[in-house]
Amino acid sequence: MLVIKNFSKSYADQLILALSEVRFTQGVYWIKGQNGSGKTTLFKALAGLHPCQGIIYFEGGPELHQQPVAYRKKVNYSEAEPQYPGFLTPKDLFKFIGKAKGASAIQQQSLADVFGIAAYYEKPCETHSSGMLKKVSLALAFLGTPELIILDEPLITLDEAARTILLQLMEERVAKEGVTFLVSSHQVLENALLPVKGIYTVENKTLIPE
Amino acid sequence: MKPEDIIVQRVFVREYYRQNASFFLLVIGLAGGFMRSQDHIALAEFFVSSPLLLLIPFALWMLYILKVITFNAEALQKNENKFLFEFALLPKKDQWRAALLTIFNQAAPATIYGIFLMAMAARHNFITSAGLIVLVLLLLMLLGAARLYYVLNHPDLERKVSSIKRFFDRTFSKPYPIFFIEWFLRHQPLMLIGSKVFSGALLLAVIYLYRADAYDYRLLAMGLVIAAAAQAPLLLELHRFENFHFNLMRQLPLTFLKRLLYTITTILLLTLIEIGLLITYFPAHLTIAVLLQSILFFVSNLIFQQGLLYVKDRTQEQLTSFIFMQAMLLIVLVLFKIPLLLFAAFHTLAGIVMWLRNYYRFEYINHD
Repeated sequence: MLVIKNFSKSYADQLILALSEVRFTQGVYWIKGQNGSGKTTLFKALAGLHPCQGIIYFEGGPELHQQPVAYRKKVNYSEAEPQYPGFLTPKDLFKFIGKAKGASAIQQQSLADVFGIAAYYEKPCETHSSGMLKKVSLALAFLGTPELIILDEPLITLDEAARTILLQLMEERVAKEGVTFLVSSHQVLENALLPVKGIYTVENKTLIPE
Repeated sequence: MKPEDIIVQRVFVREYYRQNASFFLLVIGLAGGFMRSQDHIALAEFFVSSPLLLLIPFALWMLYILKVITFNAEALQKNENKFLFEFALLPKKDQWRAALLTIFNQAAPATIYGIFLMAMAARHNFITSAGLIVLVLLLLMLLGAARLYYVLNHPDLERKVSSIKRFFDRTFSKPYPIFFIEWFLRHQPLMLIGSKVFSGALLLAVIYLYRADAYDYRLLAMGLVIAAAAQAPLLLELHRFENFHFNLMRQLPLTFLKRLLYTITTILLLTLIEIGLLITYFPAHLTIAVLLQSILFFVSNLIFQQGLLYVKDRTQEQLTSFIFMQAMLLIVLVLFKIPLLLFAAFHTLAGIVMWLRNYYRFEYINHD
């Protein structure tokens, strides 16, 4: 379970987001909010990409500021519009990130196969479409054994088949490994395909449960 | 000016000069700092004295136009500039005019030098040379404009991957320290070459002075201070790469030691030229211990700069003024015969402490 206490994030002394206490247990949470409401800022802070104030920890596990390396091992993040240096291939990214996240070669290969990346696995990212890059980013978010996977707008630029695969994979990780997913999406997350455990809205600089 | 001309001037010309300001400053600094006006005139007279010798400035102009062509193609790859593909709907005459105007303005530095060469050729009555300069400049501008016209009319150009790259991508996966080197070589090759030529030439010049007199290690140390200061733009790019272009690094569960090793390995790869020159041409009367201390002194200065970048987000201008002050202070301290090892220890320790204390608190601000 991810626990967030006294969280705040500011840019140049301007408060963007503040949360007193939120807990996310295993399951899928849909984080809604208008453009610019602070969803991505929250995600990046929870992923350890942007500095923030407060205590963020896994119950009985590492805290973001106290154990930054152990915490990052348990959190994976996929950006809304992923971009990678054009000369790198998905293979380079899988090997490098896979090694850091402790993902086996079998898991790397399996994720590449499941998302249909194998066909362009050894081709530089500069030759990929935005949909192909999105698949790479989503597959990378499943590497290792994360307890929290944050997916920022995972459904955009994704084709129907990849969308189904993603939702299946999410359901599988929740059921088998007790993973928590924080997902932002402007599209409706269909409950029939993917049971949503909770819905929150980022509004008035905080997170409001529905 | 027609609206389409204004747009291409803003997207291609203004951005080109803005993004390459440091390159032009470096060129002006090198040309103005190392050569007097009579040297420039002598060099120009040497070039125009024979069509064969004119191949030297022609080759440089060719490289310059290739740089312009690459810049324009990359600018068109940006999402924000995709609207420019509507250009293809304009009358062909307007498209050509806009493309020619763009290249003419981007090639202005080459044209200005070309006019200077022509004046020198006219002074000595080298009519063929003057004619060749005009012809080559026109041809190069036409080439640049034709390429811009072509890419504006082909938004669906497929990116080709060379067979050599395909082979390497299939056979190997890149180690992290290579990521930045390749990225930098692709995006800022002239900055890399410029800073390496500058620091390499400076070190060679300083080492050359040791032939004239038996100076102690301090002269070399002062040269190393300036050579290290000249690496500041490179280190800023490395910092930018790790925190902006490849910011997923920050999300990875890497120990600080591992991050440090990755970055220091990259820095060592970037300084291979300076270290190689030091080893090869090291003054004979200085000891091996001084050589080792000099290398440590140089590399530790770069580690210090890299640590400094995590203390506070700095623009290139802010960093340059800080590094300049630091270099002046170091030169004074070196004159007081403070041992190089002491500097190396201080720089390494201070750099690592600044890095370690601020890494997770640091937030990169994109100043573009």
